[in-house]
Amino acid sequence: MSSAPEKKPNAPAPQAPTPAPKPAAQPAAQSAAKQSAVPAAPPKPTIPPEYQELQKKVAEVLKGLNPTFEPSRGYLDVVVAKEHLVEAARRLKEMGFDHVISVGAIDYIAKKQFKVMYHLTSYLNEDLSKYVVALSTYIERDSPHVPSLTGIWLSAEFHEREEYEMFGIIFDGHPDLRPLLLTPAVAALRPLRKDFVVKEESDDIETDYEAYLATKWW
Amino acid sequence: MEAAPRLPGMEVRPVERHVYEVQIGPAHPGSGHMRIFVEVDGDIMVRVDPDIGFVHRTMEKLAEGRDWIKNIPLFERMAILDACNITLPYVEAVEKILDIDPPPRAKYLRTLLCEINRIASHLYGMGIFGVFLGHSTLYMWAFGDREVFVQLAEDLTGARLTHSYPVFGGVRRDIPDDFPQNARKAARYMRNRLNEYAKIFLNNPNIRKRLEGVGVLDKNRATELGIVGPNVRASGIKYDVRLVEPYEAYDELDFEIPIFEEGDSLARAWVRVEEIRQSLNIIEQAVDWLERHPREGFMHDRFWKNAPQLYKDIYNGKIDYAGKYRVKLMPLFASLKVPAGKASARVEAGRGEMFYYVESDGKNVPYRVRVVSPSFRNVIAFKYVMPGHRLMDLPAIYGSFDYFPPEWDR
Amino acid sequence: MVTAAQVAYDVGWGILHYIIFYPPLYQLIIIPGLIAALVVVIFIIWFERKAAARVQMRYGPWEISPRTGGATQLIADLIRYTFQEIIVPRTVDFMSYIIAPNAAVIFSILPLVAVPMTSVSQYWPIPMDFSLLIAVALSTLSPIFVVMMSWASNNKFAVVGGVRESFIIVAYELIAVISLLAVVPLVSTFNLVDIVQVQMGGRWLGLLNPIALLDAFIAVIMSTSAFPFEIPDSESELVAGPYTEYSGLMYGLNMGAGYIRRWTLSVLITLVFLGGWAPYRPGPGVVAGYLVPSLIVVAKAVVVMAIMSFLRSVYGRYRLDQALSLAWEVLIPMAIAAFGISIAETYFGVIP
Repeated sequence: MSSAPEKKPNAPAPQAPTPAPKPAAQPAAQSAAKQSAVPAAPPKPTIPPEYQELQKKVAEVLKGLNPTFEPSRGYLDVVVAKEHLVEAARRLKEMGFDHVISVGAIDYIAKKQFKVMYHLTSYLNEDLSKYVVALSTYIERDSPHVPSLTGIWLSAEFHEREEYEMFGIIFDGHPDLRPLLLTPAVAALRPLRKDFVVKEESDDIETDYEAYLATKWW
Repeated sequence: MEAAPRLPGMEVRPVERHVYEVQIGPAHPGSGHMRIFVEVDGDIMVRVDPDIGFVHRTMEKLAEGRDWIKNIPLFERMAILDACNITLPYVEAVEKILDIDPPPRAKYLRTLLCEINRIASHLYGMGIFGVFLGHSTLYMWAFGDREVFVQLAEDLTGARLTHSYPVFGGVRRDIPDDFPQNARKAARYMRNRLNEYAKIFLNNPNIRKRLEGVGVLDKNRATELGIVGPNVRASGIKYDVRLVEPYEAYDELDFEIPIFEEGDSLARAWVRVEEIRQSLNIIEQAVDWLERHPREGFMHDRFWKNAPQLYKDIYNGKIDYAGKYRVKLMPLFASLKVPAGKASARVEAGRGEMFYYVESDGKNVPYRVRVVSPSFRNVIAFKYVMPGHRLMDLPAIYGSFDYFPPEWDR
Repeated sequence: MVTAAQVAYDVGWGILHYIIFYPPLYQLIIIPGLIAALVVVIFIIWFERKAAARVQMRYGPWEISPRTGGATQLIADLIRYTFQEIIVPRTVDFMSYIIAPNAAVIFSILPLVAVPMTSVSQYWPIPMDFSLLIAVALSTLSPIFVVMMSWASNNKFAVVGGVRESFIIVAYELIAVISLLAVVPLVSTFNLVDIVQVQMGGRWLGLLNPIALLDAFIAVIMSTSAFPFEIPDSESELVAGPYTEYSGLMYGLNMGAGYIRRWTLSVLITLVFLGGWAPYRPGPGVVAGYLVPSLIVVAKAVVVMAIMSFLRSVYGRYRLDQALSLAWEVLIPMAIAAFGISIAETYFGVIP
């Protein structure tokens, strides 16, 4: 594969929410299913053992902000309410988490929520370097506003710009909230939301091309 | 300006009168597929705005519509010369959700390919850096020597660049018989060459003058910007995922993390050279380990027990398969359904820390994959480090961060 | 009785004597002018590629006629440039856009009419009394057209490149002029023929005054924006500097102008510092009195040029301010010191 399939932006009008995009390769999966049915092991929803100690520390630091810890692997998922996000971020920074690895958002379309996660770790405090902590919060999907943490972690600047263009989440107080990777017209379609469905290519090239021309936005 | 037609995606920004705006890129010999808006006041850059996304391929969205295993070849396209490092955290994160741990031989094989990729990636970066400073000799040398390691990777995996080598629960195949001596020969050759690199490039008075004290990032500033990889180690921060959170076989191997205190472009170039040296050590150790241990178990039993007998015979070396069969291990994973859960993983890729967040809702496709590539985290440096330098320092800084647009655009 | 053969002979002799071997024209067009320069430039580019390839452990030009080391590749390049479409952007200042590259080439060769190729006065293109001064003065003309090109192109990269070029012109011209004229106190003449005659005994002025030679050498490298001073058209941030908007033959002319300027100045350096046709004493006749000494000069100048070309495979490029501070703070004091050395040597009577 030398290039991604042509992205065909659908109409920006909101569609009926679909639970999940269509699986890409259904026939292949079926043909292979008979020879190798891999049993799915039941997940163990826990905090990873190496994070137990950190969890106590973080809970202590975030006392009064009602942090909840969601089961996860490879990092510690700390969920706080949106109002407490900035305060929690400030306390975590004082604790030593000095930069942002990733700002990621997830579209829980069934629950009408976005989850915004700031994955943090530390450079200068070598004890904390081995941990990744995700400071996350749930926000309303209809009015996606969340306070920007760029003021606290400058390293979040470009990540927040990316999530802004991909999800339309508005980071209040961001110094320079512009689309980063996409052109504004494409960013307006909010491509990473679940109701933006990537159309798979079919074999009918002519019809595809007609449809492609019809949805041309330029 | 009001009368000018507004095309979709067009931005109109005022520029101050005494400032001259130069757009470096996107179709420009000195930039990759990116554009940098540079406002120069005289010869000094006052505002730098990296405009990225010219090779954006919507990988995060595409991943949500593909089978778990098919995402590995997809993510490889981010940085084909660093393919193992780039896909490894995805594989690790999925393994964490599946709750399986690959066998030790698979870990060593992964480590081996990671280090080969790291060297190839560093050599590529150094070559580009050389040509940015007009030093065509380093460019040719580095690209020529990279071929050695691309060949090694081909011996190991069967593909020069997009190996798709690590898969869930193990790797795709074992080392061929003549691999160990080839690897040792390559390591010997490369050690000699690194001294010559230092002579012609890093200790060249002309190049030193261009790089010393240019683009200085001190410890605190680098932390604040969240720079990753060799760039942050050049600023005196002792942070390497191989060190702080050892993955695969790194906790059993003996290597050092080169740290430089200066934080300028020259230090960033030196870190890469020293890292190549350490990677050569790691390759030799990994090869020794692989030679000492029997050739079995490079795939987790949970997947391996479902494999047809033909696969097992071929991969265990009982049947000479060269040219006879077209063997694919991938069908083992075609119906893979990953249980609901979420995991993150990070590894130290060639250009820095590679991070994946994977969330599954129990289907045969991921629910969300968040990919943060090292180059993406280094982009911010251009915005904050370049202002105050001269326009001619732009390639010196840009090259020293080892840019790779396809990686940060994803 | 006038026979046709006689007329033909007379006309032929006339053409040969008054047009082809008419010294100003001959020097401008054949040796060391346009044709010799073209041959030399082709050779030098070939050498540059081959030498760089040798250092960089690859072949260099190879595909077209590997038996000659790919030498005909350059001819192919020349033909390609010649027949490429010339694209003139709408926004350029048309007249200056067209004139500038041509004028740059012409003014690059012009100094060659002021240099002697022999001591036989019959074959001097112009009276030689102040030839060094005239040659140096003429050699400073062509860079102005590079600035003109950049202005006419109406392109940001071109303008930045042109500004850099003008910075560098000011810096290197002073060095070139001072260091070339530094030999004047030593020989107490501006006559290039006399300067060469002084060196006939093997005491080349480059040996008597090496600092002046070094300075002139570096000034030539700077003036033709060769490595390590390839600053105006530094590819990595300005696409091709002043030449960004040029294509086809016009771009070829620009590149050619740079090489021809380097060639001209190399000839000048050869005459002033490296003894010109020195071991050889021109005899009577066209061949012994003109052709042989001029070929000796050409051979020496080619060596000078080859050394300059080789630097490409060793150095990167300096930053503009570093190059300028090198020029103003190191090379100009050195040039003045070279002047002082000449005066001191004159005082102690090194040249009899």
